[in-house]
Amino acid sequence: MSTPETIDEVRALTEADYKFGFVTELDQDIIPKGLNEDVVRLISAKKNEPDWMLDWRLESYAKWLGMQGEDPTWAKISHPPIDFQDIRYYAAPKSEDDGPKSLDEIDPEILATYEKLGIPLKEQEVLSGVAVDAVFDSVSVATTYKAKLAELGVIFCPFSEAVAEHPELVRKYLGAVVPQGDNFYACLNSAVFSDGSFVFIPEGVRCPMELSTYFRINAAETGQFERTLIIAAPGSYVSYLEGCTAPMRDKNQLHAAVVELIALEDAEIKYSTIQNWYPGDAEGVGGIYNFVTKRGACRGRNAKISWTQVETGAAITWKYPSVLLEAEGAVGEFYSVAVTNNYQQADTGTKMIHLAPNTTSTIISKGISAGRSQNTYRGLVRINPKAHNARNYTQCDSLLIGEECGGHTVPYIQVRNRSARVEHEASASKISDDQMFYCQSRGLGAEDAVSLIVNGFCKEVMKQLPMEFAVEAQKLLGISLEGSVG
Amino acid sequence: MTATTTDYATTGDAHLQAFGRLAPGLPGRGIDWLDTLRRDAFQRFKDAGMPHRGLEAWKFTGLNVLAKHAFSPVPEAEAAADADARSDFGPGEHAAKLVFVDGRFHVGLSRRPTLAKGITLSTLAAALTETPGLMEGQFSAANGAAGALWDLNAAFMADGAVIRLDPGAKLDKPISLVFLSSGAKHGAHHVRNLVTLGAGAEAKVIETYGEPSGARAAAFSNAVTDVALGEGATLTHVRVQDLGPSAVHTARAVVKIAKGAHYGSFALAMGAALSRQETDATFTGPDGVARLFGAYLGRRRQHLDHTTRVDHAHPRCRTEELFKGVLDGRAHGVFQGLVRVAPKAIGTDARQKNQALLLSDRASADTKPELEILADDVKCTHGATVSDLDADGLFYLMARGLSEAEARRLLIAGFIGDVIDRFDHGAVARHLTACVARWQDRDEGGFDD
Amino acid sequence: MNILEIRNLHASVDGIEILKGLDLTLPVGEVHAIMGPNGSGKSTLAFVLAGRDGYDVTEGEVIYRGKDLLCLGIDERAQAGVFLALQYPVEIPGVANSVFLKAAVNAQLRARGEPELDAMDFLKRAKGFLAELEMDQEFLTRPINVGFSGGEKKRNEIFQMAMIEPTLAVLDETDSGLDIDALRIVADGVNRLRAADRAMLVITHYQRLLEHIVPDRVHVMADGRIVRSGGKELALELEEKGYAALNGEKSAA
Repeated sequence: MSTPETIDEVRALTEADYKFGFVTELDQDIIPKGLNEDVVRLISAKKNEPDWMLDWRLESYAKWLGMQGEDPTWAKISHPPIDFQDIRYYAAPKSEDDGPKSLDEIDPEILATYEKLGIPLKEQEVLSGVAVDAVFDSVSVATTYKAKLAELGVIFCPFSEAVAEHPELVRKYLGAVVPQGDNFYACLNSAVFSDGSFVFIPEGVRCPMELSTYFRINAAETGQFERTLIIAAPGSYVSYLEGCTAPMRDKNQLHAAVVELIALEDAEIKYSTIQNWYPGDAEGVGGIYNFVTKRGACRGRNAKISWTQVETGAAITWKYPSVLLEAEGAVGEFYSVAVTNNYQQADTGTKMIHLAPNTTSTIISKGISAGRSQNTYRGLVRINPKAHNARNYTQCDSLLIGEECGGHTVPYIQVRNRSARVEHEASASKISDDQMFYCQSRGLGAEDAVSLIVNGFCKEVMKQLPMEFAVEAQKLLGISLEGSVG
Repeated sequence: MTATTTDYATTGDAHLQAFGRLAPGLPGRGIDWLDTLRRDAFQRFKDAGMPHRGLEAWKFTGLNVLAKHAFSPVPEAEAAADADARSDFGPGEHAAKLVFVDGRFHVGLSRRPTLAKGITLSTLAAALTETPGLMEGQFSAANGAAGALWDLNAAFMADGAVIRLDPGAKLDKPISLVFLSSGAKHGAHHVRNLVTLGAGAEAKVIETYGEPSGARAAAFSNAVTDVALGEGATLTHVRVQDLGPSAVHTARAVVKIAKGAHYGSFALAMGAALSRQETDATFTGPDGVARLFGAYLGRRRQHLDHTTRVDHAHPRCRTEELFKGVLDGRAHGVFQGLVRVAPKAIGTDARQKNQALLLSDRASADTKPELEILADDVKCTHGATVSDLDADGLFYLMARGLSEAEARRLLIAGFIGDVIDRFDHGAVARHLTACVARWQDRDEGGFDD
Repeated sequence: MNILEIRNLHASVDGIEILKGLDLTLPVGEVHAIMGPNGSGKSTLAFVLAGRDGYDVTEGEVIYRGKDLLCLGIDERAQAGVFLALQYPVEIPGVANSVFLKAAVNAQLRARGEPELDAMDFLKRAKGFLAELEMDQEFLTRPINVGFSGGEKKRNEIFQMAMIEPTLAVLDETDSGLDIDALRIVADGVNRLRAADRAMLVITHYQRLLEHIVPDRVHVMADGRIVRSGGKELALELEEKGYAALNGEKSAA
């Protein structure tokens, strides 16, 4: 049973400042609110897209119109209906039509914004070996280390640039894993996506550095519609990290990104996310709606895709990073820590679809709920008739802090092949008084004790994160649970 | 019936048409509260229609067969036929045995010796006639669209067993309830059983659904058993479904467990083309225990579904669930287990496990063990595994000289035996073990059907 | 008469060759020990003799009692009198020891054309052996190996061997994980089963077991082959010098 101090601390948390909440006053090139075919054309025109790209967008928009009224309602999530006409679909900082050629050309206010967020755009930071594709409100502002990666043949650039410079790759792979009509939000994204990252790792190349990108939603009521496409050619390897923050606003902001990963034979893609979107204030007002479609396809033998995520923000999170294990020997992994507090609602999980023999999937999900939040793991493991000797191991654990939160587990397991082996375990519990007593009797303060126990609870997942970001992740855990336990 | 995506018009239609005609002949006619209960249930069914796969609770089990054939409720006169239906179903030893043929009590096949004081055994039809006052409030309440079959049962229930134990009354030997489907083609039988145990009472009830040998009855049996356990009462409740290959069977046990009461249930599904056994348990006080066990044995193209739901609304209650399935041929096994823990249910201990064995290339299993936890001071776990027979185990047994067939049989018997073993050690366990052995002995032609 | 003749046996697991031309002759009535370092293929040899899936014989032959063994299935070999006492006995929940063992014993008897045991006979036979192995009778009702300690599992293997009365017994590291007392009980059990019409292969890593089960001959295995054979003193020599010294000799040979 949580102690009375616990409850008080939880309440204290709701008054804590959201560390990253601030707004940059900038002259932005903003399209008026609302969505119609003209807006789609405008977006495409602003980015100087070729016809085939515009056509693809228009097809998507038409499909989306046909889906009206079908926005998903089955998740254990409640939110007021979203008015899609009340959103701005594009905002870019004004700058020359030619993009900046070096950091000096970037609007200093923007650079300052990134500094506050701790994004390493400066030369000194660059020495730490991290290439950063910084996305500022729908348009990529700067990309560092492009030259170095180019030597290896690695393409890491904004999506819009890829459309212009590598159209054959984009045309081949865009929508190959998440087709336009896949679901309501993916469809919307396909029509109005603004920018995102494009990564191509050529055959046999092991990308020598973590590729990373930060997002930010700034202008009020601007939905963020990122589109990311990562292709790993046979025998290649890439580790990609995505992390985001957002400012304070009163109206909910929509984030409907699409991420597609394609791993060919013997290739490996490691995709890590640290998500810290604005969660809404103590009363549950404001906050980001995070409805993301993330899917990876292992298209070649022995391909491997791992999703690792630490989610601590957003008012509502709805995402199921999934892996389609389409070829023999493919491996899919999902490691997740999801923390909810106050009035946050999270319905997340993964889908592992085994379509070929000797495929393996591992799912480790740790959910921590506090305050009045609802945290649901929803997973699907499907073994198709051709997936001989498929193996799955799933472990989902919930930790509940306080009496008013909820932790739910909804796994679907569907097996159509007898040689498969599927094992699923789940547990739900609270931090035991015995554990707390033990730590405190060794001199640890209550908050430190909780931090220790929670980190231990999440250890299996945290150790999957690229080292540079593991530290930030641990800090994030601490901050998001600050004051939640006595 | 609203014309929606639910195209199960045929059986549904048959019932809609039959209600007006049959209602006057159903037991309890004229008793106000019962008439209202039936009418309201019928109206709800009319509005919602048969459950369909769009409903979350029916995602894995489709009732198409009820759309393909018009299973209709059978008026009393027709049901009385086939008085020769032999029945050697049910446990060898019993305190009493009530046999129902096509949903109606058959006095000839039943055995009702005088029972000890404080124990009343009656039939629904008789009890509604003789002691209607006692009956009100014993029927469980309806609950939503997932309860369409409950509504159908409430509207059309023609008979069933009524068992009542006064506080402190104890019955050592089980009461055997046998429900036979005779050959009457496409009949629908709605049976409602009521089991009420006073404080501290103890009883065992074994329900068996079967057919006289060779009947191959194509019947739809839709049963509901309402169980109310008083404080500290203990009930061992076994449901064995051993119907023929053309049968359709849906059954639900709606259980209320009062403070400190103990409900032990075993649901065994061996027959029928389509079978769904549901258990809906609610703790109405603290310190209760629900032990829900089950096994499903499928061959050919059977579809066997076990769905459980346990509601923890009070502190310190314990749930233990273990369901195992053996699926051969093209059989399809489904397990759905929902455990809900309300905010006030501190000290809840809920453990749930489901294991499925797939023995052939075309067998399949769906499992969805679900936890909805709104309290923090709880210990809840669930586990699920799906696989083929353990290769190491097979090797071990064969390396001791057992043939492959013998080794497989032993492993399967052991696999299910494990569930029986954890449930009970006495006569009930022996009865269940015998049922499973009977299934194994049967024509094993399902091997790659 | 030789119970077992192995000639130029090559076997692979997952495509990797483990046995690389193994030769061995085991006369009736004798107990031979096979020693060797980890990775030499000792357990592979045991599984190949028992006929386990995944162990592919690519070359060579195994003659058991004058007939080809490799063409028989696992249960056929067992019924023909081959018994493998496993290094890691498997747990089988839900299947009682007695039920399983009675079925196994009767399968053997059937194969030999002898009358099967009924429950009473089985129990009578079992009681004696259980007492010798210092095992409680209630063990018969427990599921196979579930919750057994390492020592209990090994004793169970020997108990089965006593009940089944095999002609060729292969004991794979029967001493692993046992303390002194358990070792003594198991070794005594094995010794009691020595017979003129039986032969045993005792596979072990350490010499100490062989102080209790004294072999007629000792073979040393390295890298998938028998590299040296000798009398029981060979075991002591190995104990003193270690397997590495043997490699030196091997390359010189």
